[in-house]
Amino acid sequence: MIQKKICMLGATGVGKTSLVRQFVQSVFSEKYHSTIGVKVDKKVVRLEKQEVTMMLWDLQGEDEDFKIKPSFLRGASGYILVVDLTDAKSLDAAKRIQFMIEDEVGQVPFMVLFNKNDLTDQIELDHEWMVEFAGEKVLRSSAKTGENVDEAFLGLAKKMV
Amino acid sequence: MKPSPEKTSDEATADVESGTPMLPRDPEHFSNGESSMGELRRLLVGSEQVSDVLPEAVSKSSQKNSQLSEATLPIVEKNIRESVLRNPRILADALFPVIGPAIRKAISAALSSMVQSFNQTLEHSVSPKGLKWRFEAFRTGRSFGEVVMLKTLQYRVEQVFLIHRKTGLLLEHVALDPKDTQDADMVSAMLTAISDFAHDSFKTDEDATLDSFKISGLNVWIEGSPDAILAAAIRGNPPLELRETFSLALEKIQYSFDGEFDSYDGESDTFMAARPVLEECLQFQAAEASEKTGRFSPAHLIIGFLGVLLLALVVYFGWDYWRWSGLLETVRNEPGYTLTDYQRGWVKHRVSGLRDPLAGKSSELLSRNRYDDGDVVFSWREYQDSNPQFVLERARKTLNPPPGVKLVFDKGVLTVEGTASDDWMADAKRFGPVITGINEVVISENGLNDLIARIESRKVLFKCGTTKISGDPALDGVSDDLVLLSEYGPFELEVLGFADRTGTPDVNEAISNKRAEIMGSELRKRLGDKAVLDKIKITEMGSKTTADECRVAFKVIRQKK
Ligand SMILES: Nc1nc2c(ncn2[C@@H]2O[C@H](COP(=O)(O)OP(=O)(O)OP(=O)(O)O)[C@@H](O)[C@H]2O)c(=O)[nH]1
Ligand SMILES: [Mg+2]
Repeated sequence: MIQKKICMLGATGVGKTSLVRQFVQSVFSEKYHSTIGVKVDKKVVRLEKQEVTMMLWDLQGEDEDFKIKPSFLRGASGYILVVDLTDAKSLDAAKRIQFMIEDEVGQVPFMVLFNKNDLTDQIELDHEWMVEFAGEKVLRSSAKTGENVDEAFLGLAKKMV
Repeated sequence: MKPSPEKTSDEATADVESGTPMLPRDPEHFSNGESSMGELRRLLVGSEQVSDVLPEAVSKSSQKNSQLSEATLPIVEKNIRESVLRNPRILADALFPVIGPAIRKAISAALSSMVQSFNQTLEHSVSPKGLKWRFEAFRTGRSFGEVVMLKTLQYRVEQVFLIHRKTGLLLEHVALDPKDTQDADMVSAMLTAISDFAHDSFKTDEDATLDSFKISGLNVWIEGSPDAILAAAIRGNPPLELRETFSLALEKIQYSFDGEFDSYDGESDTFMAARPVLEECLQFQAAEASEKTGRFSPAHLIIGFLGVLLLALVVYFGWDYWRWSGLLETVRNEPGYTLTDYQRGWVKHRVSGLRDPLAGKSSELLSRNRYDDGDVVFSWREYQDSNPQFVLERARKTLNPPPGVKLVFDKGVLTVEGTASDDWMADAKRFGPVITGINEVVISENGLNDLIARIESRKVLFKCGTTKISGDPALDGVSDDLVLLSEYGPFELEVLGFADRTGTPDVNEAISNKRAEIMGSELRKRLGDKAVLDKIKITEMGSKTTADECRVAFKVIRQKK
């Protein structure tokens, strides 16, 4: 069986931990426990040809005081960059993080998730901004409803093997 | 592609330029061995294309198998040896940057293990645990060092993780209990994360990893190599040597899987081959069993202790009772002592009573009954014992009898035998009855009278018709008796010479006188001691009467004192 290290990246509070929980355990909670350092989770997924163990490194989100530690990114085969649709600043953070990760691990498969799509009335991000950053295929997700969660993780897994 | 400047043949050039270097197909081309070898050499060395494909070929070959490295190994070894023989400096210069850090690393490892063992020793000797172990050492009859060793060797390596250093992915995992295998991949990722976190936070060396950490009874020891991390979960107190086991195992893995590490893409199956090496790390040292074989449990110990104590007390008190009764018996029977009261205490005993000053020392009574001087407190009041022995001794001390006086005591009557001055005799009669135990003093001369009677019954024979003593042994008896007699002195001793009935009265008288004289001078000679002759005055006289035998006889006459 093949194993892959995947990092969950993004600003603080964008829903990285919630996405992992939704993907791994299919549960969601409104409660917010900020991640400190890193929390590792795993999920075994079946692709057409083989099984892949996804080791999900859910990293502490970036904010003014805290910058992601590059050593946690080492050896990652892919990453998911999460942007909070209800927080425009989280897009700037995502851009910064992407620069950093390319510096650290080079070009590896990734997905950009525009999360909290269920909070329709609070969305701050314009579609153009999203396209500008993520290309035509903008993937909107919700850790609460599970929208595009499996798709995002499985899509990344396929890209990696 | 640039043409080679060494090219001479058009054909070769064409081949090279077409991209496929080939040997000429025409066998005529190599008309002799030398030129064909030269041609081959030209093709191999002279062609730049060969130098282009060679590195690729070597790399492919080493990826495929180890044949190439095996083939070149002897050559490389030989080259190194020759290089060193020719000029050792080249290799020394090349190794210099490696040797310094290697030595430093070895020294720092040795120092840190020394510090760790020093810490352990300190901890074990002064901590409560150390004291507990000291008690255990005392209880089991083992040396303290032995107990510490037993305790520190009590450990079990429960799991060993082989982790890819760069990705934190689990390469292989072995565990004593198969149930522990489930989350090994998460554990290994988190271990790497923790190690990275510690590394980032404390800004340690580039290749540093977390060394160890501890959660209650579980130690996690971590060893790192360039591509892998070996983490071992150990329960108990592992010995330091175990680190070396882990580090050797990791070295072995790093060496054997060098290529696999480089090309690792998440596929861990190849690392199954490392299982035996990891399994060797699952060591354990069971100290529990030997601990249980300790001779006593605390309860046993206490019961045993109380038993021994009780036995000791019974024996002690039995023995003390025995010597105590012995002491009382001794005091009761000892002349000069009278027991009036006694008290047996826990530590000291008391005895009180009466003691005659003439009696033996009381400490002697103690030692006779195996007591030390301080064990028994005596309190004696003086008294005068009526035991005949003490009465007599007291009489002697009080009356101070002169020589020649013998004191005899019986049933309250003190008998004075022998002769003494009339004054002394009068004192004895007066003061004697005052002495405790004496009711009456009797002056007896029995002893002296007997002696006098014996002397007077003696006779010394002469050869008849002569004045020669016939060597009669009676003479010795006479002189001995006279010595005794002198103690009672003074006396007068009459030596009477006798003749037998033959002969005329005149002659007989002369012979009698002569015999008396001879005997007198003989006795004087024998009793040459002046003291005796002062007390006994010898007078010789011939007897007018005759006797049956030719002899001398003696008569003792008391002198007035
Ligand atoms: N409505 C809604 N709420 C979400 C969604 N995703 C996350 N949340 C909420 O957002 C808050 C933060 O979510 P987390 O998953 O903890 O965010 P995070 O990115 O892990 O945050 P850090 O660990 O601090 O970086 C929580 O209260 C979640 O319930 C979503 O898709 N929809
Ligand atoms: Mg989180």
